[in-house]
Amino acid sequence: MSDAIAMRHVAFRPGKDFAIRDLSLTVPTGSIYGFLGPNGSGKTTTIKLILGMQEADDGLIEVLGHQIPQGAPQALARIGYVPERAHLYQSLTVSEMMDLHRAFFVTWDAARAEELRRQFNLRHEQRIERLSKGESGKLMMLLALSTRPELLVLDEPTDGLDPVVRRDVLGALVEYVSARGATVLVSSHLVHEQERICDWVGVMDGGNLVAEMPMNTFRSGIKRLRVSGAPPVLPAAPFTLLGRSATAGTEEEWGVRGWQPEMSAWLQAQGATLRETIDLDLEESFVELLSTARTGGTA
Amino acid sequence: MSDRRLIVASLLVMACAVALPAQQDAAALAARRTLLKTRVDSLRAVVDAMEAASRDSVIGPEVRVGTLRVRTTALLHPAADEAVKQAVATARRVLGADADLLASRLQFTLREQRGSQRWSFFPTGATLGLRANDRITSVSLDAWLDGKAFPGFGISYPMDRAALSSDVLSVLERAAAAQLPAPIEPWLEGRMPLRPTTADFWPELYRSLATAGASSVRRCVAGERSLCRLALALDSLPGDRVAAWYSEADYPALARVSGDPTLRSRTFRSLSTDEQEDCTVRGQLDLCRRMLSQLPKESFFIPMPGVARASLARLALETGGLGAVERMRASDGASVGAQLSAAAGLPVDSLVGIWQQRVIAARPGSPLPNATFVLASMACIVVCGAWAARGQPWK
Amino acid sequence: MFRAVFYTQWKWAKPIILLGVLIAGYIPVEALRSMAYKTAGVYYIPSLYGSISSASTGYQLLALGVAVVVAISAWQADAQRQHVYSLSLPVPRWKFVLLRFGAGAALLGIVALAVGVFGGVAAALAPLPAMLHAYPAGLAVRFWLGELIPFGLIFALLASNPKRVRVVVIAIATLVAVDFLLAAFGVTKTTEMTHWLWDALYSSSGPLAAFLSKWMLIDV
Repeated sequence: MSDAIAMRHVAFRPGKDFAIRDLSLTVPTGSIYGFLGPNGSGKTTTIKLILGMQEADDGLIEVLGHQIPQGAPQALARIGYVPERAHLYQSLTVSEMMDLHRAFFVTWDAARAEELRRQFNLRHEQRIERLSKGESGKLMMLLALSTRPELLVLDEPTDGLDPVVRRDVLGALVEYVSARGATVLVSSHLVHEQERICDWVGVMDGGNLVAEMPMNTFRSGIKRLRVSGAPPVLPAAPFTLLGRSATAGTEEEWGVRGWQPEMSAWLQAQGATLRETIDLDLEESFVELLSTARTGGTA
Repeated sequence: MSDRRLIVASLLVMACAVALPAQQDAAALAARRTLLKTRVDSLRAVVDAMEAASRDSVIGPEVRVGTLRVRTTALLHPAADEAVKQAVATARRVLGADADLLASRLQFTLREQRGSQRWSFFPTGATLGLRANDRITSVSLDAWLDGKAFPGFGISYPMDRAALSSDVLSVLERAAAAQLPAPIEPWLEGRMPLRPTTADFWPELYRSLATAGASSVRRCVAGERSLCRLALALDSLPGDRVAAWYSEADYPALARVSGDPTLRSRTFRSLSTDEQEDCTVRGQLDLCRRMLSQLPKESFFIPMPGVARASLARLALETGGLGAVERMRASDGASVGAQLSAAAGLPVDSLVGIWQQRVIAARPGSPLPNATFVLASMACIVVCGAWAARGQPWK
Repeated sequence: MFRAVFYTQWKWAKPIILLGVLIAGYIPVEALRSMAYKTAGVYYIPSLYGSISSASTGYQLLALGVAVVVAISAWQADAQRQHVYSLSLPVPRWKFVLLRFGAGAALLGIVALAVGVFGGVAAALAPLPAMLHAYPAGLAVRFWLGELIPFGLIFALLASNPKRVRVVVIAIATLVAVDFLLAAFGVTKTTEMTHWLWDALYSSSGPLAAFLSKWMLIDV
């Protein structure tokens, strides 16, 4: 099995105002794939398509070797899922929810579940409707991890959680992944958090995947250049010009990807002068990428 | 009709008012009485003529089935034709050629009743507030036997053919029963049993007889044939109806339910409320006997219900076949049992035995739901389950 | 798997099931002790039969009420969370739906069993006349089937998506409304347009046959 998740030319239109068109996405096996994008970009919809909860209008989806949606039950048996909003049955207690979940997953690890329950400080008799947001998040992560999944799909797992809870949840996740070598697809709009744990990144915007690359490439690849005296029309460059905007006089700011210092010679050959090279952090890179995608530039 | 009666009454009053000043002598009085009578007779003739004219005012095609004629309007003719054919065919199955003889003496009119109508919605009865004048609101069926009127029937419009057929048949039943001699005519409650029994008639009859208030009826259905004759009152009515038809266990309930409820306090005035309750609540038989003895014997009706009696009569007619009705009519003055026996061509005990066996055999079967019911229910449940299984909450 | 699903549905439907069991016990007691006229321990048979017939209506209302509440409670928790949890489970959707259906049917069977047991005990303790007999098992079967039909209908509606439910409800409401309007304007008799539908529904082999017959604990 080469990829844990493979989507090819997937199209889906859930309503009049939003559509996913020609989405192709790959999550390599054993990777921690960060699924970035602003709110409403289609991350949750894409996850639901991957899990077979919604049926795509067109295209191919394969998860852990199973075609979706036909093989969704077989795939779901090997997936741990934490949704964006708590999906648990409110009138049950913690132990009742664990018992229910256990009944459906043959890979349920009771000892691990109990260990996590103690670690997360959840009591058996607590009713789910009485749990705080953080406790609900921890319970959902407990349920996902206790089934010993090969693939974890986490939709905004730490959204709204305080730093302490977030640390606990992410800690358990990282521990599991490093011990089991599982694949993780984690969707979030918290870019800094993704930067710490992910080794692949996919950026979603307006139903389209605008970028997909290793995290290192993403992190280091996008820079901002301050350039002066550049001609209006440029020939083909040795780097990817994401966008250019005028600042003052003949000065411009360029967003670029794949920039190397020796490429300044090319600039000089065009009659332009490199004033400054600005390194962007992940969030700035992310914003730059989205701006480019929205204005129709090349990402 | 009410308008005509009013006119007649007014004219009669005026005619009487003319006769009030009684100042003449006896001869003159007699002459005046004769004159008055002549005037009243002529007024009655006017009423009869008006009614005949009203019958004749139904202009349209006449429905003829054998000798039975129904005068109706062009609008109602097609439905009336079919309904009357059905009624006459049903009557012929029992009466044979007698049905046509009877029908020739009957006259029917079927008329539209028009008036203004407000449309209403079911079930709240709220009205729409629209009125239409001169709409057909209902249909009236009137019948005469040898010129004497039967109570009429009102049928809603649009007309239900089955209802019309049933009403025509009701007239035929009453007309046929009117030709029967006593005591069978009152025993049949004025209706010849012309209608065939339906499939669920006998099981329901068994049920109603097995749960009757009179022990004689219950024991008849349990198999005691002698009590069937008693409960059916095929011979003369017993002197002591209570002792004949009811067991002691029935007395408290019988004392409670018998008699005119509006006259109970007067009927049982010799007994205090406590004494009455000693019978009706605590079951003290001597007090029950006292209460029952104070009720007139007419308070105790034949315990076998009318539908059961009608079913026995119908059985007798079916068994007797051709000529059964004539033989029944010819046995004037005999007991009900003898009349039925004459019709059936069988001894009355044999006839009652056949009827009793038919009732007992119709005892409802297993109370468990029958196969059809179970299959239909399971089919519905399976369809629902399959529909649910195909449901997708987000599609 | 079924045990886990049954447990959750039992938890949600427990109040109505327990109430149903209590009512199932109350109905025969009321019919045999309070309603039927009895003197010195002997029933007046028409009164007894009448009170049992009234109890039949009580049983039908009980079945309908319990069935509706159990059907709603089966899906309420999922509906509140847009069915996300059930859709994320590693079972085909149809299998999960049938597990829920089976659990609901089993819960309804508890009340049916109570109807049979309590009815049988009450009838056994009552001085029944010779011509009448108690049929608690027949009543329990009829009761259970009578519960399952409305349960199935409502369960199927709630398992569908809201659009499908709207279509079904609007179609039925339109049919009934048009029929009443035509009848009110005298175009047809009251139910002539849909008489074939009512005939099919109310016939002795139709889905509502359970509610046409009497549910008699005691009969001839």
